[in-house]
Amino acid sequence: MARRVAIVLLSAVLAVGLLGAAQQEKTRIEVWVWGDLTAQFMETLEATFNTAYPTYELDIVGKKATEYNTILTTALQGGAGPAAFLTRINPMPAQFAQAGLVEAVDVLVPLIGFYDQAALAALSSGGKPYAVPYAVVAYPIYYNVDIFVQHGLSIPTTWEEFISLCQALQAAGVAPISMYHANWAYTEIVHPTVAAAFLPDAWLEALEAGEVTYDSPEFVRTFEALAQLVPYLIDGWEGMTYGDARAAFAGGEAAMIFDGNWSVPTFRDLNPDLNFDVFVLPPPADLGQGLRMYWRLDGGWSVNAVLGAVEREVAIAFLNFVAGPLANEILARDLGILPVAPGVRLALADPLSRKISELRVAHGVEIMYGIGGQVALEYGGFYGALGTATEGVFLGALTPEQAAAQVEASK
Amino acid sequence: MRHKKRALLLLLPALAVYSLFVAYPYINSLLYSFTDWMGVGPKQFVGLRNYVHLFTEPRLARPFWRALSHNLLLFGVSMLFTVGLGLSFAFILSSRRLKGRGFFKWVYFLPYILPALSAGFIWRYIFHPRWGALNEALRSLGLGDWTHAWLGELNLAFPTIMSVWCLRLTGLYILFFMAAMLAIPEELRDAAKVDGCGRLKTIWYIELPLLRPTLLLLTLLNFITSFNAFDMIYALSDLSGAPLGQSDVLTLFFYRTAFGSVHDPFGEGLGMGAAVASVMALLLIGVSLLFFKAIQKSQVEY
Repeated sequence: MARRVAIVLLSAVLAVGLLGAAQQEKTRIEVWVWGDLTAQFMETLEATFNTAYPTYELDIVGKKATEYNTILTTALQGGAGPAAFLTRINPMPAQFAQAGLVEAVDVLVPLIGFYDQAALAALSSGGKPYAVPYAVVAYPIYYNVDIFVQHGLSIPTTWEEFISLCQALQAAGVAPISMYHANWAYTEIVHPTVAAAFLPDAWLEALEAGEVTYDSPEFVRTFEALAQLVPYLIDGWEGMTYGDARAAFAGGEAAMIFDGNWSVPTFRDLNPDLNFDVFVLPPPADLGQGLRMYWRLDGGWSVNAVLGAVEREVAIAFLNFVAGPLANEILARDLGILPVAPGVRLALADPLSRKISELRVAHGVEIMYGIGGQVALEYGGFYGALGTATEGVFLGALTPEQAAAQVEASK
Repeated sequence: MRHKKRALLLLLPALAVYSLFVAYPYINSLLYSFTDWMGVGPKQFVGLRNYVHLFTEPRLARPFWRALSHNLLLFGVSMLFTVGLGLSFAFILSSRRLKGRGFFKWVYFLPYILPALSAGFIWRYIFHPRWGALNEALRSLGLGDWTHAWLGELNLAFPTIMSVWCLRLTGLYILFFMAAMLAIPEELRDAAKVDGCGRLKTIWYIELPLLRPTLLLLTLLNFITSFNAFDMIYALSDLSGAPLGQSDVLTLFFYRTAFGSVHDPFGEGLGMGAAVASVMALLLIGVSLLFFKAIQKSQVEY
């Protein structure tokens, strides 16, 4: 009898213990983002979510940015993808949607109705959004304030003044511009930054209407401007990666760099003593138009369509979390992103990120060949051609006319 | 008959593994090459269209031929250096009078031990135009004018990559040749000596002809390695084969075609990528068969 009682008691104790363990066991999901640094700067976001949802466990994993598309596509296709992930803007979400790899988010995230329609369009297929807009990226010129002050230089207001500024820096023995040899960054950063300053509004409208081509004089002029920059690029730029060029700027080896807003925390991280600021690349005087800064939407958060019920629940909770103001304020502070979520204040963000955000509102232009635009959907090879054409001009292997003709031929 | 059955039975596990991990992916890839498939979504059968486009559309044909010419150049140069140097060093190191042979063998083999990708990234830092050891060394020797952006300049990038490639492989080839030389019976050398042959004549008339099968085998290996080169070239260049495609090779071209890049998420699609891979496979299989025939003909028995 005593033995029987002991067994019953032991069983009861074990059952209670197992129940407790089961209650404590968390449902863990992986969320993929591009870049190790991105994941590192998202640690607070991860911790905040885990605190808000004690039974869920979020693990944000960074994948190599330049191979992110391949890694993500292969994983999703093979059924081994993450529960949620950052997707590039179209054509990626549209392709994923057509393949049934992602869920439409309009019914999963009630806040989606408050987002900007243009932002949603770049993540939609068949009129349905397949990702929650993540952020916009904007492209200023970063400059080293100490170098400018030391040489009595001020912010240029025209392209001609910008070139004079480069000449003055070079005459003073300072490398004017830190540059990288990276095809993707020419497409992503350098050409659009110059094009925003050089392409007239009327030409952009005509391009949208299909009335002009990329070998027209206006587009050739963007390459002429790039060719003008070559003498002022840092020595050895031909052998420098994007990371090298950022390190050179952060180390005070050059006065300026063409870069995206995402680099604010990176520069602070690389050199906490760096005194730097931003300005908008000015247009040439004869164009008679004001400052214009290129910006574009930078992807969205998607949910894997092939998930177990519990994982799906966590992924949806995560999507609603990143659609809200708290997560975006954290990301704006830690990662330097410019959120597109409704109702987000940038009070916590780095003052420089706030300044870039204000510059974007005041001078922003989303050029139609911006990534995710109609051109991207129609001509897959366009971006590679734009990067190669810029590379050719920088290396002196292509004339501006040849570069423009090469871009036109890629269509 | 019983022996035959038993042999087949014993071959079965290996055949199953081979079929699953080699034959199946090859056949599957070949089938993909007849489809228009982005890697996600439905596949559409397009017959030989991908192959026709690959050879006729300038945006594909131009980089394809350029990449192929770089692979051939890499093969030619690495034959000249890795086989040439490998053979020469093997003769020197096989000399009994040389002290510290083991040390030299180890030193020459060392570059091959590191994974190609890691070695590539280390070399990338050595060649860095601003902080690299090579330019630093040149500057400290007062040769500042000789400094270059070794991996970024149009005329220098691929020769620089090829030199790293050759340096890495030479040690391996030295070992191959030394092993082959050890297999040559000493009596043959002694007989040559008795007949009045000096060291050079022995090498020319006795050792080199006997090394022919090894030489052919290493030529084949070199061809295959040169055409499969990816990791080291990727580490020293990038996916675009920078600068301006001057270091582009077929594997990089295949990757870009099949998987795209940052702003071109799907490239030309897996269908076209599979067509590129199939052409590469066909080329390698064809050349390998020719070499196998030559190797069989040149077999030597002592």
